[in-house]
Amino acid sequence: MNKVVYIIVLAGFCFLQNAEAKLFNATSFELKNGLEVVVIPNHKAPIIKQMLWYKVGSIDEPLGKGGTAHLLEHLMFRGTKNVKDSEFNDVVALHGADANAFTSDEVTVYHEFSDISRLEVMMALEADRMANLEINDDAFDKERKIVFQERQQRVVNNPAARFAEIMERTLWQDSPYARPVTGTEAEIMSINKSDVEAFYNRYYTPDNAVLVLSGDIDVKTAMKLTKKYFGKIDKRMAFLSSKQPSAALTDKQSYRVESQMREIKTPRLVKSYVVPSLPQNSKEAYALMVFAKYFGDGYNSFLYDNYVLKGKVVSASSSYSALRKGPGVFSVSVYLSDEQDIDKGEEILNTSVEEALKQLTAERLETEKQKMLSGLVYIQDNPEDAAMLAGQMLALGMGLSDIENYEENLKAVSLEDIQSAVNKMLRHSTDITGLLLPYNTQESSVLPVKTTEEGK
Amino acid sequence: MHRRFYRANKPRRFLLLKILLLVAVGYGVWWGYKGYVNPTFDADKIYTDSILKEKTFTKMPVEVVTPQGLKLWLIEDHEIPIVSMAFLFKKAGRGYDAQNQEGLAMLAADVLPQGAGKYNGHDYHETLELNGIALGFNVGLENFSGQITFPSANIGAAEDILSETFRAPLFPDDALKSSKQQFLTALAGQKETPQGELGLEFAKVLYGNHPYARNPLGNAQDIENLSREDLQNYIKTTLVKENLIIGIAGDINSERASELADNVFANLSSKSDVEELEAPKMNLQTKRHKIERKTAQVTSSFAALGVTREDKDFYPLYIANYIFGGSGLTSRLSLEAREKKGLTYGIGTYLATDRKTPLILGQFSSTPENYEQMYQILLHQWQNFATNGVTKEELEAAKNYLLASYNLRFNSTDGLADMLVAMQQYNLGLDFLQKRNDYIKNITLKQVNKAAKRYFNNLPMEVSIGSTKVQKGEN
Repeated sequence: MNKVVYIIVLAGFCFLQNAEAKLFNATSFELKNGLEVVVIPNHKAPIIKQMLWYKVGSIDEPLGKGGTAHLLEHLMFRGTKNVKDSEFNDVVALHGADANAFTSDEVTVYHEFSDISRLEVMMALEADRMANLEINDDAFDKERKIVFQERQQRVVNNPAARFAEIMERTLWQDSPYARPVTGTEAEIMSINKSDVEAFYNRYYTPDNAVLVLSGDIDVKTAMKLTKKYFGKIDKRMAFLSSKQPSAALTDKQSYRVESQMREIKTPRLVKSYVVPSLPQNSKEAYALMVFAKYFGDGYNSFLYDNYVLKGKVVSASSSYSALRKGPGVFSVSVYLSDEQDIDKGEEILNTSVEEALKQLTAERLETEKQKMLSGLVYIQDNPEDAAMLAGQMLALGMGLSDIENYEENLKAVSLEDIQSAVNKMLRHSTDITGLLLPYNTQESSVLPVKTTEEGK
Repeated sequence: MHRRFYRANKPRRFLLLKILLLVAVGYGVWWGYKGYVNPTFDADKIYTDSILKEKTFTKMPVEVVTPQGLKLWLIEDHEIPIVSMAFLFKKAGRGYDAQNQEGLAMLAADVLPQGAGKYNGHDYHETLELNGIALGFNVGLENFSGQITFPSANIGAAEDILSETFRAPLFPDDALKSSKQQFLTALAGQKETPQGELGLEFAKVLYGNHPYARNPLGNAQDIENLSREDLQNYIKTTLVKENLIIGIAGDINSERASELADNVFANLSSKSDVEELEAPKMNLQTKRHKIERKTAQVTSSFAALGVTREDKDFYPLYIANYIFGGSGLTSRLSLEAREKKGLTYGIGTYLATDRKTPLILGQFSSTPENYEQMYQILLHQWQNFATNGVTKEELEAAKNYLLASYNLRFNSTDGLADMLVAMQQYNLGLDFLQKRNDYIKNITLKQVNKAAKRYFNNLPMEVSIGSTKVQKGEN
């Protein structure tokens, strides 16, 4: 539980591709205390997803206190002045709901999926812990150990996750984006109860959050109930909106990281560029979205046709994370077999974007846009998907109209827009190349293996 | 002194009453104050007073027999213009791969949606994407399954491409070659994480020499040798009508659903000569298997004999498991190991109810110095569960969850189609949805505790991977 989503890339826009607000039918309003509310009626089944997005994540942590946002997320399940100890989990279970939370570098999100008849209980619980968190010493001690174990399980035991951290540190240097969401082991153990309380007191305030209700509810009822449960919560006096950390967008730097790890058996290569995100530059972001689709998303993409099907690499893909407050990242990655040449793989990373741009025709561009729009209707289906998309957009500071205009904005992307955005990326964006490789010595591939059996 | 004197001379009549009154008033004031600054949280009252009342999902499945004699289950729901069809072929899973063709079913499922009939590889994907069609195939130990989901306006395109897929799969050379390469690379990287290696080792211990123990990605040499003819032959001889289950949900009526099923499946062969695989003899006797590796955490899987979905003990054990390790953070295992002691990020159990391998399965991971303590907690909880069973309160709480969460299953169209296949696969009956909550309500404490005693009587078999030889920490 309490999934950490390190970077919400949302699989390169799978949600956004399916969004259309005309079909989506969402409404937003603001309570007097500044809480923004989004309602997405979907009367298919008597169920509802509640999501509360706090616009705060690991980038807002004080230096040396990495992991505070994530530890706080865990402690939100450990008791308030009114709902003691683990009673939150008990109440959620008694009412048949599934509750969870995740922390990223930019947001912390709590969510409950329940029968519509239980929504008021879920709202009361969520509202209560927005205002009344009470951390007891024992729970703090245990939960800090648990997030320590979580880091061991998710990161330290996983070579690809360790390598991703090395890449992030190198690319973002001394920006807060360089730091892992979990914090490091030493950081986790150095966090005090007062650090977490200070973080909570500063950032968990209604005017720093977005509440999404997606499911079997109408706007009028949602207004009444949100006012009832969340309307009473006062803004935090001390709240100061967090400053957006600066990140290397102007001066081009090129980094290169190479790691050999004993668990890795075949080479994987990635090249990432720091590019504008959707809130930073909508026009460029749309151009990069369409380009990423054409270039490396799925079968029939440029990468698949030219390198995978031709046997030059085992697999290849690209992604563009546009739904971010800070800079976005455009990535190309290839997996090789142990027989394929690593230098040639790296050459593909370095030349394929330009080659793809050269070959892109106006006709192909229109086809790609059509593909991106063909599944828009899906966003009406599962209320959980709709909640995720709307919450993320609003937590970024964008509005529902940005979802509504998705189709229009996408259709407006011209070949020139793409050429200009991609050329700018190639010439001016800071980039990083990462090579995750097996050890090339014979000896290291032989691990001590011993199997024992005992007991009956 | 003065005070004592004074009190001694006061009449004592009504004193007790006055004290009581004072206490009562004081308590009232304190209660009111407490309620004002610290309103107590009464979830039951919020629920009872809620303006949002319970509703029933009314769209129930029907059985349709097509003109060509296929049987399908359908939930019509015209709320949103989406249709999903899920299907499953029994006796077609990877357990049925011939000995020198390990990986056949998986490879076939991977390359199947990459060209068929008049659609070459490029046209195939282009047609799917331009019509918003999501299509995928899956292979388990026993079954081959698939699902197609599409906007209802594009039903013609979806129908045509899927029927061509089964009629004349191309398995194009380049796609087949690159798919093989991906399998080989995945095989090489399978032990990259301890979890990956544990999955392989656990199957080997549990299933011994049975095909279920094989690597899910097959065998490198066999994969290299598989030809297009092998894959085409697999599709033709294994995916047959007598082993087919179909579930359709969404914006479609029964006539059109029949037509869709007939157009896609009616031309398949009727029968296959594949023989039912024998159930594996599961090795649960030897209780501990340790594989030493240098890792940050020890990862552990465990198993004990469980029940099939059709077994009369299914609901009692299902509820027992929910309480023991199935309910997430509120389960007994999680409360002991995680919430109270902070030893792990997660521990849990679940039931596998397949006919041949009914099991209670579980997993946890923790740093080496915590591992032995974790294992002992598991054993202690396990034995205690068999001996003492569950309490009345735990049973009530479990039932509450299972009843109140009933509607969550109706969240998506593809989920509905999937559910219709599962209902047929496990013989739950067309009226399962109407009856399900009564099944839960009728389970008694006695039944649950009988199941706990019976299925938790034997300690679980456990396989762990990691550095268990590390010196013990302070606790």
